Amino acid sequence: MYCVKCGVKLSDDLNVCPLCQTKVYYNEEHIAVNKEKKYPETMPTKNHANKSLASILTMLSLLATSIILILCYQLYDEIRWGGYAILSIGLLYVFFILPLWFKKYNPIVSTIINHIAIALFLLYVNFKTGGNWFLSFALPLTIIICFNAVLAIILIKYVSKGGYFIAGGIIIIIGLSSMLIEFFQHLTFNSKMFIWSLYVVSCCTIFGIFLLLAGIIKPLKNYLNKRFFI
Amino acid sequence: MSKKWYRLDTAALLFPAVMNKNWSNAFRIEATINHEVDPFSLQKAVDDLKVRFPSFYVGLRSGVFWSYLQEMEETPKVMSDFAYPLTFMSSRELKKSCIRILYYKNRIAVEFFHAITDGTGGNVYFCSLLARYLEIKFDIEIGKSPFVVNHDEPVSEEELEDSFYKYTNNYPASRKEAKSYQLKGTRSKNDCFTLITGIIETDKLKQLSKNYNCTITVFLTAVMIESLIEMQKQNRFHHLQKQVKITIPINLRKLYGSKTVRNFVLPINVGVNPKKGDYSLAELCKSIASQFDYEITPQNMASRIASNVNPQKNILLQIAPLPVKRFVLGAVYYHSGVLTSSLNISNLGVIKLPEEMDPFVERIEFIISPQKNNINNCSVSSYKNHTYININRNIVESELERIFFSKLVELGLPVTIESN
Repeated sequence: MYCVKCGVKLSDDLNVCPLCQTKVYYNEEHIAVNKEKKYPETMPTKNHANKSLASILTMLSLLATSIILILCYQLYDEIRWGGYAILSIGLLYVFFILPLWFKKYNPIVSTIINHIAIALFLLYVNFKTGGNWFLSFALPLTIIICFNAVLAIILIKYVSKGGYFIAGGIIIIIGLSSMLIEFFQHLTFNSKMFIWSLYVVSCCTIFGIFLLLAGIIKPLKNYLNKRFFI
Repeated sequence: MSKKWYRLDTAALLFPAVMNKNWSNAFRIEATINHEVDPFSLQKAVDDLKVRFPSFYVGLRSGVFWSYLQEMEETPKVMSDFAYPLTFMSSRELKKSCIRILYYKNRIAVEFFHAITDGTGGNVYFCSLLARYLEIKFDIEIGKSPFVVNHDEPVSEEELEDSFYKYTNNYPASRKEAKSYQLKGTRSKNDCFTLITGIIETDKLKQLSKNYNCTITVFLTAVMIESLIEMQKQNRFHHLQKQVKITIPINLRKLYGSKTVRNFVLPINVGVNPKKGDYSLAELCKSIASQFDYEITPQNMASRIASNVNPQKNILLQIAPLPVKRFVLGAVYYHSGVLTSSLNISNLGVIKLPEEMDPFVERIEFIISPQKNNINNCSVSSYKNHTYININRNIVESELERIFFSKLVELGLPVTIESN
């Protein structure tokens, strides 16, 4: 079969001209005979755990931790600032080095583990500074952020359609969360209720509703797709 | 027993430095045969060639100062082919093996990481592998040719040498060159390459090239430059137009009589500046042919070799750790190699197999991968009066291919198109 536009002869397995995308029409008999493709469907596997790099970085982290410990006990006979430094190394380890050990690191599990690490770090800071803000403020704040992040990941990863609804919904939830955060701030620090969060809620709600509408109104959706595609 | 290892040859030093997540600088030679491939005979053939081609059975390793090639413990295992040719070779894979031997239905393909050999060296290995496979499968004796070597013979030192060091001079050529027109397009998903193959009868192509008083390589380069000029005209104002240059790798074996199966190829850039005025195809052919004649002389190429060999002798570069070297080499390559050309055309030439093989082999093709900036790359090979022009791209748009092949059709060449 020849392409009517380019004038080239096309091989039998092609349904469109690969040069100009013009459709080629065959009879059914021809399609049944010449379905064979030039290449198989299999793709090479790419994912693998980077264990050698992970072990080198683990060794370096352990080395840094032990140097800090030795230094603190030699200088002050107690841990002092070393605690913050060691926990910071631990936090970086959980964020960046831990994922290297696994072939596939589930983003939901990693988000939860990262937030647990942050909460433990804050608990240590609270304990060291003698504050009493952890249970009433830092812990709820971490849980709210973790919940929002996990919800966003689940929606983005597992729901393939309705991008505008997902984005709109997430933005509205973020806005409402800010009110909750300000409530815990009020409980802990006796600050006035709902001052800054109202700005966040109003902005997020307006923008969220706009995105929800964009999901419903097709011309608006097409316009946004055209102007903001990545 | 300690494993044998090889230093990278002068051209190969570049490839580990410039490889990135999406581009491993590999090329592929594939043959379609007249029966379904028997993987056991193919594996036996791969094993048998280890003694004759030791520099192909290696993995890429990193030393403190230089990368090197280390002999593999086992020969590579034959694998079923993938959905796209030349899928990415990761450093992890290259550590184990720098070649992939693939089969699918009645096709055998070998993908080579460029650091171990060039197109000509790879073709000698591929044709010898094909011959050995047919010998095992059908219990026949196959005569030898320039492309098929005897697997029993021991390998000579000459075949494993870095010929660049042998044929250099003391007058390095300048790398300075103006930037060329770079094609742009929408990147393909998953970084897969789209391959379009144009098949033309070699006799007709040869005759047409003769009408323009040039070789097939010069003729195809001229048509490609004409296509690129047309594309640039569509996309850029006249005063913003850049020169259109194409990189052509030159096989130096013929020029110096080297027998190495490792890299011995040097690229030259040929082209024109469209700002100077319009060119007809005949004028382009004449200009490209004269650029070829001027550049490809033993003296000029020796100067080009010197500009690659001399920096290696610099003590500062020698003692620089590998990551620093990779960074420097990558930057030099990007500015003097990638930005100065619009795309590559690599012509493997006419492949002549021993006549015992001809009834079994239907076609032989040569494919090179596109690069980050040179989003289209073109490779050419001829076998049994058919010339296979493979244009590989990592973008969605097929405008260049459309213009190029339409021009060939307009010139009276019947073109058959295939694609993956």
